[in-house]
Amino acid sequence: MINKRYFKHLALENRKVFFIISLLIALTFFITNTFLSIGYVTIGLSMISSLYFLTYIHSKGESELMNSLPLTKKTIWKTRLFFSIAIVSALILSYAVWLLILGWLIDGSVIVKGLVIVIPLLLVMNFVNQIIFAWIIEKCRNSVDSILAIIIFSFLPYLIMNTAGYFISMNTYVLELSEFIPDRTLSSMGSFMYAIEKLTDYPQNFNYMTQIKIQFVSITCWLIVAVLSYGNTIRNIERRGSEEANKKTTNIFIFPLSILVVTTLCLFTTVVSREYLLVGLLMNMFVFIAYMIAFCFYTRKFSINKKLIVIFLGLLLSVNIFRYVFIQTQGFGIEEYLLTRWNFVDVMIEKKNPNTGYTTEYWTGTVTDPEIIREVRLEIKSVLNDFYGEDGEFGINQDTLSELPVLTYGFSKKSDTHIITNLNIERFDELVALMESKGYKKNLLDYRYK
Amino acid sequence: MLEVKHLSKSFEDQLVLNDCNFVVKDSTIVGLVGSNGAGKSTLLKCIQGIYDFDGEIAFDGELVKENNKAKAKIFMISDTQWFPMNATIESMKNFYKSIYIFDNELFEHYVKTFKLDTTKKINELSKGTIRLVSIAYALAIQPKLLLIDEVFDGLDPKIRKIFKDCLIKEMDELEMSVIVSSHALRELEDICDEFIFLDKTIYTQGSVQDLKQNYCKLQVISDDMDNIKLILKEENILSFKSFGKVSVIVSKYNKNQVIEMMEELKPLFYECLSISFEEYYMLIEKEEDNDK
Repeated sequence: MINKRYFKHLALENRKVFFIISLLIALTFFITNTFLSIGYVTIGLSMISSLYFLTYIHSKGESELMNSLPLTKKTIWKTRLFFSIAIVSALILSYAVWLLILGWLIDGSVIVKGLVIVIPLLLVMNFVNQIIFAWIIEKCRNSVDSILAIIIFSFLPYLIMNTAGYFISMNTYVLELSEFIPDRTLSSMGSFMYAIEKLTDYPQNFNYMTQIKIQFVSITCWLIVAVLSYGNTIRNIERRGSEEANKKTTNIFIFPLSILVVTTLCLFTTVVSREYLLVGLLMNMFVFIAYMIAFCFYTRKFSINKKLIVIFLGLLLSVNIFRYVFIQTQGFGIEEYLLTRWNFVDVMIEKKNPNTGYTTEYWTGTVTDPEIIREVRLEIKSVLNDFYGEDGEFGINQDTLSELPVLTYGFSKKSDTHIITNLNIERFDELVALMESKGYKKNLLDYRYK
Repeated sequence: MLEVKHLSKSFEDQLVLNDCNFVVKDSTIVGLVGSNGAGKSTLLKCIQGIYDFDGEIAFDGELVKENNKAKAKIFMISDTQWFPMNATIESMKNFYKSIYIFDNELFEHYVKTFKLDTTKKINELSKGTIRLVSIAYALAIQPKLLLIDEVFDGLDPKIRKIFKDCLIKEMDELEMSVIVSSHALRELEDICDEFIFLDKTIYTQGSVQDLKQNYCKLQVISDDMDNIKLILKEENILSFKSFGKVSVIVSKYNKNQVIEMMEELKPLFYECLSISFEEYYMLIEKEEDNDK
C-alpha cells in the first residue's frame, strides 16, 4: 500500500520541522488555552501539510523525479498522503501530551475528559480534511490553484448558507434556513469544530452519548465523502503524468465553476429593493470587477472578452428573475405551507432599541392557547402581506437550551420617516396585550444586552 | 534488452512521438540524435515511465509502465535534473538509498573522483557539478539501463573524458545499456555503438559504420564534371561543392559503387573518403526536410 522505506525517509527528513511545530503548538495552547483553538490549529496544519506533501504533482521537476522512481504513482501518492496525515496526527498527540502535563499541574479531571473527546475528533478531522484536500489538489494542475481551491471549497458551504440565509431573511418572514440545516455541518471542518464546541461547552456536564448523537450523522456523512474522494483520487492519480504539472487547471468542478458559483452568491447578496437601485448597481459593478479579476487570474492573462460579459449578464438576470419569482410566490409557497403546519410552542416578541438595534424588551413563554396561535398566524399573514422589504424581523428560531422552535417577531423604528403603518403597530400592540392578558410576562433583558 | 513498440506521445493536441519502434541490445551505448524538438527528451521520459504514453515499452521482457521491478533497473539523468530546494548531496543520497539498492562505496568513490563536497546544497552548485552529482548517483544505483539526456551538457573536456571512461568501465562490469541524447555528435561518435535518429518517429537506426557505408564523399578533379554528375544522377547527389578545380560530391552510393563509376569515367584525379558522423547527420536531416 505505502512504501515503508520512503515513509521512513520522509519521517527522518521532516523530524526537525516536526519538533519546531510541536513546540509552536504547545505555545499556542498555553496562550489560548481552549479546545477550539487547537481545532483551528489542526485545520491550518492539515491544510499546510497536505499542500506541502502533495503538490509535488504540480511541480514539473519534482513530479518527474517522483515518477521516475521504481514506485507506482499510487504508492508515491499514498505514502506522501499518509505521511502527511501521520505527521499532523503526531502533532495532535503531542498536543495531548502537553495538555496532560498541564492537567497534572492543575486539577486535570476536566482536561482529561476533554481529551477523550477532542483528540479522537481532531484525529478524524485531520484524516477527513486531508483526504478531501488531496482530492482538490489532484483536481488542480498547479499549486496556486490548489491553494485557492482549498480555501474556496472550505468556505464555500458557509458562503452558500450565509447567502441563502441572507436572501431568505431579506425576502421572507417565516423562513430561517439555519433551522433546517446547521450551517457548520456543511463543511467537514465545520462539522468537527461544531462537535468539539458542543461537546466541550459544558465540560462539567459531559453527556457523551447525547452530544455525540447530534454530530454523528454529519461526521459519518463526511467520512463517507472522504472515502469516496480517496477512491476517486487514487483512480485519477494512476493516470496522471508529469506532463500535467504546472499547467492551467482544466477541471470544470474546480475552475471556472467555483468562480461562477461565488459570483452568483455575491449577486444574490447585492439584490436590493428599487429604492436603492443605484446602490445595487454599484455593488453589482464591484461584483463584476471581482469576477473579471478572478477570471484573469484563472487564465493568467488580462483579457476582457464578450463571452465573459454575456455570462455575467446572464447570471445577473437569472438571479433577479429568481428573486422576483421567490417574492411573488412567497418563497415558492413554503411560507404558507409552514404557517399551516407548524405548531408554535414558544413565542417571543421582542422590541428593539432603534438606535442600537439591541432587543430592549420581550415577551416570551410556551404557547398552548389556540387563540394566541391563531392570532400569531394572522399577524404573520398580515405582516407578510403588508411590509415586504421593510424593517422588522420575524421568524422561527430554535431555542438553544430547550431545542424547541421559537417564534420571534422583532420590530424596530430606525427613523421618523419610516412607514410605521406598514408595520401594523396596532396589531402588534394588540398581540402584546393579548399575550399579557394570557399571563405572558414582559421581560426586561439583562443590562449587558441593552 | 529494451523493446519499444508503436510508441506515440502527444501533449494536448501536439504529436511529439509517432509510432516509434526500436530495440536496444544489452551492453550497448546508443546515441539518440535529432534536432531540437525532435522528441528525444520525451522519448527518454517515456522509457523511464515519467510520461504516460500509447504503445509498449518493455525492458528485459517486462512492461515498464507502472512496473516497479522494471523501473528499478532503469535510471535517468535528465538535462534539467530537479532537486529539492535545500537538498544536499548527502540528503539526496539518503533519498535514493531509501528507494534503490545503492552502492555506497561506489558512490564515495565517484564523490572522490569528481571531487564533490557532500555537505553542499545541490542547487547552489554549478550546472556541470550538478550533472556530476547526478552521474555519481546513477553509477552508484547501477541500473541495467541508463538514460542520459544531453549527456555532455555543462561538462568541461577533462570531466567529459573522465565520465566517458567511467561509463565504459561500469558498462563492462555491470552489462549496462546506455541511451544518450546529445547534440555533441563528435563526442557521441567516440562512445556509441549504435545511433537512433529521431524526428517524432525513428527514421534510422544502426551502427555508425553501417549508417555511413551507404554514403560516399568523392573528391574529384575532372574536365567533364557534367558527365560525372550525370552518371551519379541528380537525385542521388546530396551535396556538391567546388573549390577551384577540385569538386567534392557527397552521394548516396557506397564506396565500391563510386570507385566503379570513376574507373569508367577516368577523371584526372579522384579519391573516395568516408563522411564524418556530423556530415552524415546533416545529410540525413536534409533528406528528411526534402521528404517533408
